[in-house]
Amino acid sequence: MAFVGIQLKRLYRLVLLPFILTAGVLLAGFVLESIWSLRRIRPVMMVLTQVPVIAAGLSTAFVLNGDPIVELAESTPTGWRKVQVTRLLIITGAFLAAAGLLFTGLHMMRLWPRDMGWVSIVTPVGSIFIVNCLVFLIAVLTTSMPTSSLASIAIWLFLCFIWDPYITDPVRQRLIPLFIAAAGAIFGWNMCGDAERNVVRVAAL
Amino acid sequence: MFISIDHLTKDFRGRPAALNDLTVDLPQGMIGLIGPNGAGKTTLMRILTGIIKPTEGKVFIDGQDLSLPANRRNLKRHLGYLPQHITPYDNLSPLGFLDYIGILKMIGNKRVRQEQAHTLLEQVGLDDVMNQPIGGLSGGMRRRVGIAQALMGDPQLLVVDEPTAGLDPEERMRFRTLLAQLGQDRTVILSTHILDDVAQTCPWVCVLRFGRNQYDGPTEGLIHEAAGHTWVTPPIAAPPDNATIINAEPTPQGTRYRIVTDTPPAGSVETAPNLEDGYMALASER
Ligand SMILES: Nc1ncnc2c1ncn2[C@@H]1O[C@H](COP(=O)(O)OP(=O)(O)OP(=O)(O)O)[C@@H](O)[C@H]1O
Ligand SMILES: [Mg+2]
Repeated sequence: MAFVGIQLKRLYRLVLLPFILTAGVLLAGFVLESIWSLRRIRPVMMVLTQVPVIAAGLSTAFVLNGDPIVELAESTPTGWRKVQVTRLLIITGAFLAAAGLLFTGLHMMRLWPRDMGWVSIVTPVGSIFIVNCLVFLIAVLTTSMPTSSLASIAIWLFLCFIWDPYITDPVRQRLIPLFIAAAGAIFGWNMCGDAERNVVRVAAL
Repeated sequence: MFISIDHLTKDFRGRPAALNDLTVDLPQGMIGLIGPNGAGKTTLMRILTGIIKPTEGKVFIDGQDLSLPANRRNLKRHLGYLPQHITPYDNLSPLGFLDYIGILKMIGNKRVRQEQAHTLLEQVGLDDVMNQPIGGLSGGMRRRVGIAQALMGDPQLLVVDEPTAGLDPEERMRFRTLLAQLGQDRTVILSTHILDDVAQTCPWVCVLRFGRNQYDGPTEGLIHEAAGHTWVTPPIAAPPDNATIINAEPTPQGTRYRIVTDTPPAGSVETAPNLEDGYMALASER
């Protein structure tokens, strides 16, 4: 428990970020609703609801790279993987929860773009899950913050402009990439258990 | 704690073996690990701490085979390690950082962690700055934070990789004394390029060269390698041939050299060797 607590303390600013974004988008929706027509608001919301996804990828890239005491962590019974995965879970949990709130709010205000009912919640929640799992994999593979950040943007671009517009059934739209992302995360999890690789990769930088 | 290293080899891809069929037994107490850059000291320490695995060979710590994951995990519960390159988190204070390491070392009780952290930071002379961010401390002070973190959890095995690099003389001596105290009832493995640190604190020494064991045994024995070969020349103009020069002292008449050789120049006076002489004598042998 102390272990999760101390990681949470290290990350608390980034944990607050998604909730601030959610509050911001909801507020924008609330204000716009009273002055614009629904037809004008929807495109704006389409853009705004992507912001948390981008933020999730970048935050995850930031959190999972550049720790200076990997070797030291590997010399303790805790090990580096546990540190890394705990951080991933904290940041992903925060962004998922905030995405849930954001969807709920916009859904109730009837502002969620392409709303198909409650099932549409899989769109924001799924995006964040997919992006974060894959960024975790890239971070383990490359241990490079710039590469992980670029990759997070690339994954988001792919989802947003190539995948989502053509696969419109919300379940299929998310299930396939979710499956791939989960496989990637498991692969990353395995690789992150190799202490020698973790230490040598960081030492070589 | 008794460490037995058995035919240890470590290859990194595309490089000469970092450790090459190394066999050595290390007794309880303070052990100095010395050798030139690239000799394999850090690699050996990483294997002894269970961080990396050897390509071939085995390590036994108190008879426990480190190739078994359960034994590695068990070792890490009683281990203090100071990596050669460590930069503690800038935004934490020394106290906060030691607490963090205490958590990684699974010291569950917060009060215990805080008490240990306080005591250790006092021991390394950081009581004045223990609540300031590490980012604002000097290089030597950060080094001391690193030393203190290794001691969290009162480890039975302490592995410190060049801990005194960058410390001022006073701190170095203080740290030496602290290590020697710790070495009384546990095993401390100290790698360093400062031979004087070894001479002052380590009764046992191991010399690595090209990943091989060049010497292991009492520190006295290494000094003895240069017995009968250590000379001080009279002031002369040119450095002597066929000799390893230990130091050179300018005088008005010329330079006076301390050398290790079998063929001293005329007028040289034999002198009692120290650890530097012994180390250089060994180095020039092969
Ligand atoms: N991760 C690695 N990948 C490739 N080669 C490595 C790696 N780590 C060490 N080596 C090589 O292994 C050899 C031994 O290195 P090591 O760091 O153990 O030496 P050292 O005795 O600690 O040197 P120094 O006194 O400079 O700290 C060197 O030739 C080094 O280049
Ligand atoms: Mg080294």
